[in-house]
Amino acid sequence: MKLEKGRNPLSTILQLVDIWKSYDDVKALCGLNLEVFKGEIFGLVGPNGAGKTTCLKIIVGLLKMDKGSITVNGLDPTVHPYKYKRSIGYVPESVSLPDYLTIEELLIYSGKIREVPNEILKQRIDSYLKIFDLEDKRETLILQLSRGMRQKTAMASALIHDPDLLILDEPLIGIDPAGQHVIKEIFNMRIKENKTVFLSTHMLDTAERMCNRVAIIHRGRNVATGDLRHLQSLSETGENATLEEVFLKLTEERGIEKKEQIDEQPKKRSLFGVFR
Amino acid sequence: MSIIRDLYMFKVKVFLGALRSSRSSLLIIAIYIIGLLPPSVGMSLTVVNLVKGGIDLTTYVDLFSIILNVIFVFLLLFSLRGYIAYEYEQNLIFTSSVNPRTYLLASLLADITALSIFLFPAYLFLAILTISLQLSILSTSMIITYLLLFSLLMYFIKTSLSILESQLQSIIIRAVLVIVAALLLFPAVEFALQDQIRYSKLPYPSTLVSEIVLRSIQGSPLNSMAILGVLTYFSFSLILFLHCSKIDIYRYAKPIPLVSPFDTSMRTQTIKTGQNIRFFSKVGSRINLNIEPKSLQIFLIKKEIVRMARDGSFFIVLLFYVSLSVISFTSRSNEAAFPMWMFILSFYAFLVPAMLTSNWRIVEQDLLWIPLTAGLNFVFIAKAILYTFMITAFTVPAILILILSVTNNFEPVTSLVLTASSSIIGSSINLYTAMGFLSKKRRATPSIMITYTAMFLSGLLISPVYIYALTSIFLGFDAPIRIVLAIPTLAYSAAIYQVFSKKIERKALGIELS
Repeated sequence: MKLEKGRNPLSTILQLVDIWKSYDDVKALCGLNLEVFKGEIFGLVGPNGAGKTTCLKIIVGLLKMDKGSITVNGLDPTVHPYKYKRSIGYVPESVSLPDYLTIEELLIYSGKIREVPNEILKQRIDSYLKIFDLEDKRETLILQLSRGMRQKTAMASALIHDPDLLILDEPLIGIDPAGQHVIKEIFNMRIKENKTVFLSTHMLDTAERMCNRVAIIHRGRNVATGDLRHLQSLSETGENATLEEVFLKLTEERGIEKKEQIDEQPKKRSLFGVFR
Repeated sequence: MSIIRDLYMFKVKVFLGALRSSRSSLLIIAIYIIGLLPPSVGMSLTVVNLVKGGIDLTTYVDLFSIILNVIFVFLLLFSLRGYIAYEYEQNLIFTSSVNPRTYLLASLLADITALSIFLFPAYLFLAILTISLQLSILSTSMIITYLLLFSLLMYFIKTSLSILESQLQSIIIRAVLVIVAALLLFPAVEFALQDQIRYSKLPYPSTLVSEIVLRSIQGSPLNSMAILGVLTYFSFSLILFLHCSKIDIYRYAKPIPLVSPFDTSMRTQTIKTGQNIRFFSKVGSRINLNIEPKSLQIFLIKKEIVRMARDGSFFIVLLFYVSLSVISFTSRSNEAAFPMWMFILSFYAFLVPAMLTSNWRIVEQDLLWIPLTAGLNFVFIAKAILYTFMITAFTVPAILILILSVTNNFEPVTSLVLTASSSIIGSSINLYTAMGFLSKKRRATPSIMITYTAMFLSGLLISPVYIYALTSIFLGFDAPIRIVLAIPTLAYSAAIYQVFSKKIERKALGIELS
């Protein structure tokens, strides 16, 4: 079990304070708070529709939040938008890559738009092609790659500027066991260099095996954050409980709490309706 | 019989469903109908006048046969691709217990229904002909019957050959197809060259049908041998179709990722783009994206050029201008028409950014997350796209204009100014519009609607430039006056570029990808 107990953080790399986001009338995030430390693998877990992808997209700058504040390495995206983004590498859940480029061309493109110097870029391209076992495919068009290879290419592309914070949305979906092993190795390498990996997943066994700490989010709120021991004690599920059991207990409680709130709302509305 | 009816109803509903679900499909049909209305009326009135004046049956049999055979050859060449089936047919029908013949008969009925919607101009044509020439019911019925028989004959032969091509994948089938197509078109070439071999002298199905139709229009007695000939050909095609319908086509059919011919969904366009990249990257891979350019802006422009070479964008532009230049070359001898052709050549430069932007949107829309998360000011990307569009939209026609000007001793200032302005304004407006449609609520808008919007806006803003060009041509200004007038024209284009590039920058900074 990777989920560690009582790990001492060195310093904060990512901080989310009171993040709110709505899509029309649907609230995706309702005051989300998170703190991620340098040198850890942090998992964001939650059921479908919990707000995981929205949260990640807000962090990487693909979506604007309605309210709240974010910092990465102490940088505020509203003040230093470009420097902020250069600290981050991102791999989305369903990766779309430019089919018309070769793997090598995509890595050149990714490095160039992040202003990696040419010499360093060349070295990193060679290095990542080797690590991800893509050397013999470097001149192959992305169009011709399998799903697993595309995922590995996207990962290499996200790492090309050596970001402090690597953000991945459901990183192991569609990857074969050998590929998963490579990814785990990459994560471990990042940790040794005091870099951070932040991943979202709904596969709880993955989170339990890979992450040092997790945050359980449900209906746009952070239900609980911490290592497994902390979550076990919070949920009162006992020392032997798995993350799945902890997750089910915590989200169930939150679900009942939420349901009670929803049940109350129509009464208020109908009262107003009468007087209107 | 009930299975055929159910399948037929299902196919028609899918076809009409695709039409109803997309406003752009309805727009295409509306443009088709409105666009063909005037020529249909014009053509039918011309034919009425010709018939009233008395026609030479032999010459008109030749002419009508040319039209019928061109359509026939066009359909036959489609058979070279083998039998094509829509994706939903493969998923739902080919995996069921429906036998191939039932499916083919239902497809035939559904195709006739779908086609009948698009034969609107033909109905109008026939109605005007019948009323103006006071044709009898028998004559009108004969015209409709024999045209329908000829259409079915074409359908049966085309479908049968597609099935055989898919099943056998034999070079013999392809050779037969090409030989038949050549034989069908040979008399048309002879007619153009005013040589001896004519359709009217050959017992082609088209000749016999043409003769029956034209005699019916004239009100002269029909040739019983022609009727017998058409029926024989039709019977032969029917037997061939029934024979081929026994083949298990489900095993050989090639999938086509459309719901109907009017499917304009993003998914379909993405699949088509994948096919284009697979095809064009063989040529486009000669242009590579390397690490060398030190300037980021130049690197990004090069990346856009690589994309355009590999996704077929350049090919579309080249094909467009090759077609236009062929027409221009044919009018080289006509001195009066030549300046107008040069105007048209420059005029169409505003269409090029529309084509390029449409392709860019289809290919790049789902890839915007890469630059947007990269810590690069998106303005660099927007400018690279804008510059590439402007360079392409100007360079290709400008080269052509210069060649034509040199070969024809024509002074090209006005044409070049019009081309430059059209490419600058067209590129700015098209990219601005495309960026506007990247917002969350508008992302699902079909590309064709965005293109129409951009073309409408471009047309409005380019109009002062057209006024300059047309005034220069019709008033026959001397070169110095045209050069002086070109300065405010180009300044106006530059001002439009300035305004819209700022707007593009603002739009680019507000892009959100949900």
